[in-house]
Amino acid sequence: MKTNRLTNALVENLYLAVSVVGSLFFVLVLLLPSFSLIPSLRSEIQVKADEFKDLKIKSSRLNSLIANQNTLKSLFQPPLIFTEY
Amino acid sequence: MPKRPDINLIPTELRDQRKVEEVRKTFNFAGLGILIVLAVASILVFGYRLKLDADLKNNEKLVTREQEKIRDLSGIEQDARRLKAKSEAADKIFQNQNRFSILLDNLAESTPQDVTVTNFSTIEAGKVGISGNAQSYNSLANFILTALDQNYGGKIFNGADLTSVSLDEVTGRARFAMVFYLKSNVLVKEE
Repeated sequence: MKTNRLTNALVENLYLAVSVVGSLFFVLVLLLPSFSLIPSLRSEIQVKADEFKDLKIKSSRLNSLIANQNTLKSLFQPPLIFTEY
Repeated sequence: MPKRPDINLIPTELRDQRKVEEVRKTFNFAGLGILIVLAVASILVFGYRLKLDADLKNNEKLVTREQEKIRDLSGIEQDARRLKAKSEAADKIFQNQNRFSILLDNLAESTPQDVTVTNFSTIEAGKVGISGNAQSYNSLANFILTALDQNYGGKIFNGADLTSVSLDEVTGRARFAMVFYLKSNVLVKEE
């Protein structure tokens, strides 16, 4: 008898029941975990961006060093004249 | 005719039932509204999280690629650093040792703008062979005079032989080859 009354109440308030269950699903499965993850993700991204920036600076320094190396190589060509003087 | 008061024919029970029904409908609509709002908010926040995830992965990829690039350049970096050390050593040597440049400096000082030296070689100790072209014969004469002038090339040259002179018909310039004689002990042979 009680079960019947509960079933009847659920059927009568079907929209409300679906809304409550759906809202709980969205809040517990999507909203809260995402909210809790976002700050840590942002800080990780910032760390990686800083690391990338440092590496870029190092890379550009290396590239300029290599460009200078070509100039240096040309300096170290064997002298063509007056080697004995 | 006197006006009769309205007679309420709907039973109280039915009226209560309608009120309950209205309240229930209101709750249902409110619940659905909240569901829709939460669904939209959740999808937006979840999408933002996915975007952050993608950004993080992208940044990690960039960092890895940059690290690989730098690792590939490490050999070249070592070479470059060795070369830099050599260059600094060479700079020191050149600062202390200017014998190489004495001859070239004097020749550069003696060469007028309208004379171009195209070849420059030692024939034997004390003799320097020079060839090139001049704007005119006068320019060439000026070159020889300046090269033997005590204020210019005469500091190291003490004589000159003009081996050959010819006029280039295409350019209209005088081609020449000559030998300059160096003063003794001006340039010292390195052991």
